[in-house]
Amino acid sequence: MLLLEKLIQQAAPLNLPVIPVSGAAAAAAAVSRLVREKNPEWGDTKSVVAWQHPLIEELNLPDELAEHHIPVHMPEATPQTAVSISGQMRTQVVESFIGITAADYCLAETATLVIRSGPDQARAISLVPSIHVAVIALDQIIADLTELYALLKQEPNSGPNHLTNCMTFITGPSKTADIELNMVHGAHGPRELHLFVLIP
Amino acid sequence: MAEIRTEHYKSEARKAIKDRTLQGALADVQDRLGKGTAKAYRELPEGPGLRLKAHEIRMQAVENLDILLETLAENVRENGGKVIFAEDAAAAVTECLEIARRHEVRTVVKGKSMVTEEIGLNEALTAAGMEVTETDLGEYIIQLAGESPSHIIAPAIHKTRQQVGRLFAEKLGIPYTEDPPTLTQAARKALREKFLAADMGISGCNLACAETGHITTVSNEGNIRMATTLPRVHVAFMGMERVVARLEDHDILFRLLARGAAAQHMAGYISYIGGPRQPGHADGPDAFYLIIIDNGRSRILADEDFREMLCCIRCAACLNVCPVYGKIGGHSYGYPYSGPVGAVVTPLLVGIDRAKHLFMGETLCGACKDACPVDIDIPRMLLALRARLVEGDRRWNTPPGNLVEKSAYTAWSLAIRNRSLYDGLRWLSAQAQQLMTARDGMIHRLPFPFSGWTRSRDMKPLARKTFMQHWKEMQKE
Amino acid sequence: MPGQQTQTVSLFIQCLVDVMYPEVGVAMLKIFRKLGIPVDCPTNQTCCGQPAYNSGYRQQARTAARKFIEIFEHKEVIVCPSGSCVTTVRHHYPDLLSDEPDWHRRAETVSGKTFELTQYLVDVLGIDDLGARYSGKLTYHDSCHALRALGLQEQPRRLISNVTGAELVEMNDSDRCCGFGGSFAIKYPDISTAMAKDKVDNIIATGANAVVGVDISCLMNIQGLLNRKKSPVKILHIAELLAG
Repeated sequence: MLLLEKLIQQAAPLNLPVIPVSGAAAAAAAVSRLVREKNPEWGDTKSVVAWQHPLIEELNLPDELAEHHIPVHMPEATPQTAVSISGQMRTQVVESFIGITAADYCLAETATLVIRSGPDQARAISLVPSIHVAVIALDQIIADLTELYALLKQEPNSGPNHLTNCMTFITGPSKTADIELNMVHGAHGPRELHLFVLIP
Repeated sequence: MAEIRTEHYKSEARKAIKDRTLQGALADVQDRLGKGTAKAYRELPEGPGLRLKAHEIRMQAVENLDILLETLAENVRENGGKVIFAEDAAAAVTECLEIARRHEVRTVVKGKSMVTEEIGLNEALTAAGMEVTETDLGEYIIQLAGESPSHIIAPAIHKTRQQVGRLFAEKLGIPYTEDPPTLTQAARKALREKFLAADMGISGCNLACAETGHITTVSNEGNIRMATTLPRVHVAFMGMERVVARLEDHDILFRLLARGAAAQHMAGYISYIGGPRQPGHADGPDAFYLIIIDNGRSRILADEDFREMLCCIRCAACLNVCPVYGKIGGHSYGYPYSGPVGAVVTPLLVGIDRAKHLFMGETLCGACKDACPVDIDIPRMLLALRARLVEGDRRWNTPPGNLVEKSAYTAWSLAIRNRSLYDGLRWLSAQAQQLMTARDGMIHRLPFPFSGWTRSRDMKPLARKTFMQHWKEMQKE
Repeated sequence: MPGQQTQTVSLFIQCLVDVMYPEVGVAMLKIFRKLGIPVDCPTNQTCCGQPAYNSGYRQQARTAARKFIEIFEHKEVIVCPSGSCVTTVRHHYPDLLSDEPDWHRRAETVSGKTFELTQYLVDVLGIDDLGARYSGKLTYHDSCHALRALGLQEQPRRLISNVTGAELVEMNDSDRCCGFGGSFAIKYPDISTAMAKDKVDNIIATGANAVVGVDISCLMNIQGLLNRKKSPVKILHIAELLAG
């Protein structure tokens, strides 16, 4: 639990709520509540876009949110995808006000999520929607950058490009201080980031 | 190439000093970021000494640049990216225009990048008919205003919220407001449209990792992620010095970069980008180009006195503590690089003689060295530049300096070798000064070349007796 | 170390002290006399060469350095009331003469035994109380080279705080350059003055009667502006304070 406590402590000044939840059902309820309570930034209709990922699928969000008539898109990459981001998926990502992803690791020292791109792990989902919700398991929390780089080097499938073509470290919501050094959240990326930690 | 206005250092500085709004903004930046950085270094478990380790990592990379660049290029290519080496600004711009033509690019979104400022990329793309949008909020503000950055990481720091409010009202057609969150939201909305429509995204590189073939981009806003994720084509520009050897080298460097640049523990977003979208992946650009720019860096590398400058990671920590920058702001330096880093880099890029005010017009106080996350000895290089200016250097196309001044220093060096001569000259000066001394015992006006002093300050006249005379008298007692 | 205390101190008098502020040298002499330390002073010394070095005139600075080395190389210990001049001797001489092995060796010898006054008192002799007296509020300006090149931050403050009757009030940004910078002050007077103004404002804001420093060059710059503003705040070299 020490790492989780450290994470919560480091996340606080970043305006990054870290929410420990026990079990998938509790997590689903918490995410669902968040989706219902928050309002879309760009339009009136609510939709959510999420990764296809075991941790997220376990929450069964499409069913959870169906009764509230909030669609949950879980786009699938097709090998034929000809442009940078396929038309349908692009629309889903742009129209969704919340994007839900998992992560590879989370660094307690700096409250940093480490996310690699993948076939069903669109980069845009943690970026374009106004709110980013990340769901991680407790054992994904590691100490710091030093541990991360050591782990990356030891990963069993560490081929020449096992970092993938895009590995992103995310530390808190998007922010800027370009006008008179006033801190404002939501410059271009998500205005809010909520991190749910599944406790087994 | 960016426009070079280094000759106007003195007059621009004078203007900046008189600009009260700018003075307030500069004081604020330095007070918050400069002091925050020093505190962040002190709070490191390893202490500020970690900077020495970072220096070692960077210096090692700089000394093995040829091998590392080759490895980097090889690995980026293996990851599906294209790598282009550009010898100078013109070549880099031409390559980018060619890429744009090949991919039928009409609209471009840009992440903040100093090297693209250096090569004057925006002007060239615009001239070729493309719409180029800077997306870092500060860069966007100054692009709308038709200005140039005044700070390496906070480019619009010279603008007040009122100025931004008026600018946005005029250019974006929104009702006037001076509320930073509302202004930020307006830019967010306008730029979101640009990101979604853009054909090409352009970024710089904070570092590049040779062993894995990735570049890294760092931002807090998320604009660089947008620009490198959504458009079809991503072109990254990199000064050739930015490479490091190993993945784990980034550990210390990122920790120090965040502290140096913004007194943070970690930047908001760091992306390792190693090529275009992989087959089967959900998104990312179809094409990825890395343009590695020399533009005078090889000459810096070849000169032992200045090689160390290639360790710089452009974090702007030195700007935030420099007492000269704190008074004259970024525009006075007449080139995209300002502050202490500009005072060394700019002369090396545009000409030692042409940019001499930048390194002469500094006090050698050393605050920059203490603030530098990679412990670059900027004061040492300011001194080395001064020596080159005096002595001249063919490699740098610098003729020997001012002969009159040189004769004066030579005469002085002879006088100080001979105490009797020295005393004689001192006595003559003291006599002359007696005529200038005012009733309060101070000199209020000195002749040229010392008149600069007394324009704003008084000076104590030479003493009637030197310490050596006192000493001799005391010995007799 | 008692052995060290019997070393004869050779006074290395900064040229500005010699010709403009001799009282600082006299004060330093008093301090050593009070401590019972034998003192000598080579009267053929002039200038360490820093003005030439800082302006890029290395050949001329070398001339000065060689002269300095000839005068001081056989002395036991060399003490100077200026952090800036000591920085020149300690840090720049070996570099300046690096191409001449014999001179380089001699430069190293001299640089190893050259100390700034407060550095010598506190770090070498282990003395931080000289039994001095002063009445009133003082503030301390950190001179750049003393602070950053020689690491003198605590030493002068310890000495000042042990002066009976003196109250040390820290100014805002005490470690920020006053804008002197040698020929910079004359060649770039607008920038220099703007920096000096901030310094003087910070000094005046403390309500101190005097600003103390370890380098008369900075103090001369500060005094120049204080006097122009007709401010009653005085400059005080730390040697003068400690001799009082």
